[in-house]
Amino acid sequence: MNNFWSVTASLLEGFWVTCAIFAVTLVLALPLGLIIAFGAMSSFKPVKAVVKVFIWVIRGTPLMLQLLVVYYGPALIFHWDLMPRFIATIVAFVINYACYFAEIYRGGIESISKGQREAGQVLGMTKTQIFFKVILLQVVKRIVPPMSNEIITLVKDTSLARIILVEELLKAAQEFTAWGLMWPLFYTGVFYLLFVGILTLVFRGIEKKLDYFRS
Amino acid sequence: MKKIFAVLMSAALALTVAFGVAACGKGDTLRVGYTIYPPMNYTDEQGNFVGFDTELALETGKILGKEIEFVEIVWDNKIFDLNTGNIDIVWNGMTITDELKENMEISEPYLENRQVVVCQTSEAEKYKTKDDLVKASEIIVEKGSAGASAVGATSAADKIRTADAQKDTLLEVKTSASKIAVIDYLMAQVIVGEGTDYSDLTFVDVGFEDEQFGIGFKKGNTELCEQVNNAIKTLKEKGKFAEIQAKYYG
Repeated sequence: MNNFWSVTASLLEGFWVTCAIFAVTLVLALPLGLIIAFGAMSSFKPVKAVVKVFIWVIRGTPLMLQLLVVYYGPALIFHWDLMPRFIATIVAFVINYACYFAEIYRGGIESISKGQREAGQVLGMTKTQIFFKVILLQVVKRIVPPMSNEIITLVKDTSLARIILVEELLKAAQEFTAWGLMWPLFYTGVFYLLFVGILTLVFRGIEKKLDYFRS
Repeated sequence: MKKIFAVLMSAALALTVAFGVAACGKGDTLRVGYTIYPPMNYTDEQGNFVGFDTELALETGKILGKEIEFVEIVWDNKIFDLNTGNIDIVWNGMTITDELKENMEISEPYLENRQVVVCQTSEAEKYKTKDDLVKASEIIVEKGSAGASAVGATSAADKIRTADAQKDTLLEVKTSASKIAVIDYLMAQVIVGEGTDYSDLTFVDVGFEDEQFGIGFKKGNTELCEQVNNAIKTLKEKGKFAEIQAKYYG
């Protein structure tokens, strides 16, 4: 049970769950974040207020607490049946990350000078055309560094899912610690480092690709 | 002359440092690692840190002439805490297992315990023997605990899910996230049932074997282990042990 390969095999099982949380969260939170960003910039005041309060609550409370509330909350308050642990994890992570992404999107969109929008209007472009053909390309370029920061944090935040007993990488390692085997815990660092290393290379590639509009 | 003086001075300095380190490291304080685990170690309504093991450790400290300092630990990391010197003793309702014996010195058993099944009161009828455990879709235990070993040895081993602490297993059962928990009888007795936060839960004995609680020390520290063994023997002879026991398991 304690040799290197069986520990590795057991950690790989946990790593697979970690990867799944990461990938599903990213795929769902990226578009949801954009919707929330539009809400936060809405000219319709009530929508804007609700979205701002929502972002405040989500960014203002620990993700660990949100996981507990999403998973156990419905059963404790309404006596509903629980959703599967993995689904609860995804719900909590997607909401949390979408809010952070939304603020990055908003920052990116608002950083484009008003002059460009006005120029578009003078040239007779519609609002949609201005957004997709003028604003968006520049926004994407500008938000890559902060987004990559947030996405790298997501890799490591997946370990919080252990609070609702999802068998991710760190929890898999702690099974060994409980029986007196310490090194698997530190060995998990290698997995996270490799994962983040690959992501870093991907982001470097993306930044190079987006090397247009050099100013 | 100057050289001799310098040598003397450095020797004095080295001695001072050596004594200083010895005083800080060993000294008259024993650092006892615990987790919140009623009724062994917990904080009562008045905010006092009490419990069976808490009082037993304090009494043992009096006999050994040492200050007892309680250090909260993460249960999984207890062996790590012992080996790094963060704590001198693990004293927290620890069930003696073969795995633990390999990794630490363990005192003579000082208390009897066994594993019981905690479930919702309405489901208590379902669980009568160990073979009934498979009826539960998921069984929650503390990782690395005696409960984990006990369930692992039954036909329901593949239904195990592990939590960080025994107290965390109760929320799982209360919300039906896991159907049953397997925890210490000594804990179940005081934490579920009427008058507790878990009044809708109950516990059943399904015939797990008797177990014993022991106190853990760093592997190789047989000296301290012996001292504590003798102290507890004295406490038992003087009737102090029975007095504390009656207080928490009256």
